Amino acid sequence: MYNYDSHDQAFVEARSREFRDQVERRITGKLSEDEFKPMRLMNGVYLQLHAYMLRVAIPYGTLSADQMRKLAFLAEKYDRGYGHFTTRQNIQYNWPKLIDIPDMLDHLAEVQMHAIQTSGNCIRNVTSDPFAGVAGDEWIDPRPTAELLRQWSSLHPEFAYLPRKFKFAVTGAAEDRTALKFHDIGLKVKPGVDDNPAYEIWVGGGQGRTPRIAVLFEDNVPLSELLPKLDSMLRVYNLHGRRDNKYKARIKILVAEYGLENYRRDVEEDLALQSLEPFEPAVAEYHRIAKDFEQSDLTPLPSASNGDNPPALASWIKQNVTSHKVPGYGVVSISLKPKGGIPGDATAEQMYALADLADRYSQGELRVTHRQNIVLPSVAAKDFAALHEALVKQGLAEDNIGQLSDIIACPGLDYCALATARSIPVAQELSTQLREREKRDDLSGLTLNISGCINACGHHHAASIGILGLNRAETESYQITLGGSSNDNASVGGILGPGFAQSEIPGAIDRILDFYIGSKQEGESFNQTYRRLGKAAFREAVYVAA
Amino acid sequence: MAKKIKSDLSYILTANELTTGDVVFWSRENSWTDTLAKASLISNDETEAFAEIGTSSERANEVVGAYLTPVQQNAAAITPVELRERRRVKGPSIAYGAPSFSHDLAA
Repeated sequence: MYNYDSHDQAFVEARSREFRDQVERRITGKLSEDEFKPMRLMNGVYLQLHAYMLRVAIPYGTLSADQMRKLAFLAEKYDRGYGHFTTRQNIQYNWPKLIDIPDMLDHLAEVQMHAIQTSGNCIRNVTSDPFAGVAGDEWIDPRPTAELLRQWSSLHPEFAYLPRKFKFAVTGAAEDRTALKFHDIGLKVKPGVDDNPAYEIWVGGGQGRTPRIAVLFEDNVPLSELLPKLDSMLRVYNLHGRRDNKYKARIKILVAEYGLENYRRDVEEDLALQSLEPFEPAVAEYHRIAKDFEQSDLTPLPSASNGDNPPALASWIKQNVTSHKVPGYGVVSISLKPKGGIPGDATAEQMYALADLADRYSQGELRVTHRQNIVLPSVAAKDFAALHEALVKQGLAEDNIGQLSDIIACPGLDYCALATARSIPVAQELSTQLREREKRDDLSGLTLNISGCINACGHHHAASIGILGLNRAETESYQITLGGSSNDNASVGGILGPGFAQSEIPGAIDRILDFYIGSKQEGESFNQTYRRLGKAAFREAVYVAA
Repeated sequence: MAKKIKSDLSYILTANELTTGDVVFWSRENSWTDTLAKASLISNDETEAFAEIGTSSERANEVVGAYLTPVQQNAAAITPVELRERRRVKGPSIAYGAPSFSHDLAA
């Protein structure tokens, strides 16, 4: 993992002191709420429906065991005993008091963490592949690039007040586990020349009320040109991005309306005017960072035989363990989607336990996924049984990774000030229903995501089956979309038809699955069946059969 | 601060307490309370005066984001008209967090 140098540490400590001063000035009236709001947002502090909310950055989804312990401690001491892991690999605390937040930030700084730029119209926490560094299909570890971006974008003076928020994702593997094409900029890291990486740059993706799939901006950009290129890309967006309408202010709208070729031309013209000298240290810095991510030696081990495992353990291994690049190890995904549970929530006790298990079985390291689960990246196969037993005790052994019941859901109207309907209760009911159905039907590969408003934090556009909660005449109504995907063949789901009451959703989902199971051809995925038969056929099955 | 006022409804004045973020209501005792049942019911012709109370309280750094929201009242309870406000006054509808935490659910 990356370890802060003295500059990094001084930076987060200074920022924490600065925010403490800002909070004191707010409480004593020296700052008005209008003056204070942009400051608190830049430090991840929202005012939600019932309370303040603190969003803590988990850079590129990587955590040490000690950092997880600190997150557990914060949940226990300053919140109501739990935290919520988000689709951007962050954690949110739903009940902190404003007067306690400076202390929380001090605690975070002790373990090289912060909440900087987890909100506001700036470059947000960079996300990455939760299997980085251990995946068998990886070309190159994306984390050094993600850390380089963190350093470049932290308090970047020119990009502190962009037209809207700006999200990066970085991956270095054949399989996209980052929803890369739904980001403002997505980087695919590939081997370049002279031991340096090169980049595919994708631009203009996003969800919200105008979902867009990112387009390829440029291929094979060498490391030495990456930061100046990104600087120019952000600068052109900063100049031309709309500020008159927040719903049209993202770079996806600029690329769509201004045109990719015009945007690319402006970027090249801007780049030609820049001095590259300030960026020259970036290559050396990349290699300094990369040293911290070099895998500590894992000795290849003989593969453990799973033939005699009890059924529950065998099923968990089959569903939740992915092949590791080192023989004899596995990448273990821990589901935060128990049957009937709240997607992404973990109690302080569970977080403490996860930290201990990471120390015992995975070199003290954990990851957070954009699907709101936790990963232990390097577990020896001989330890699977003991780990599974420990997870069962914590209620963390659900064997549904990659199943339909592995539902993404935003906090929705139970917490969020922007939400138009609740999403968590819908997820809870569906996960209960789907866990039963998964016993008889193969629903692996399908995804079901739920958002509580059109801002789409629950990624409903990007799911095989998406559910969007809306407010219709002060009553919750749920719209279903079909055919979305966040993988390398990313697609936006299409609206099936009129919305449903919450009580009608389980039946509607059952009818969709009945029709798919009854209609699919050999080896066909849900989205392939949906595209072959078309929306009208699914619509008839769902609405006419009701 | 005030949302669109409709003449046939009553209102309550609500905000979040500055230092804690707690949801609060302007009470019949002319102070902020976290108990909806104690909220002062405001008629259409009183809305301007109560909006000014909210603004003054914001200036005094007691609360954040004060606003009036329409409600219906019967013998049993005060119920906000808007879906968002109904959820806001009740709290989350789900059992969240550690089992040791006491939830006061009101779906």
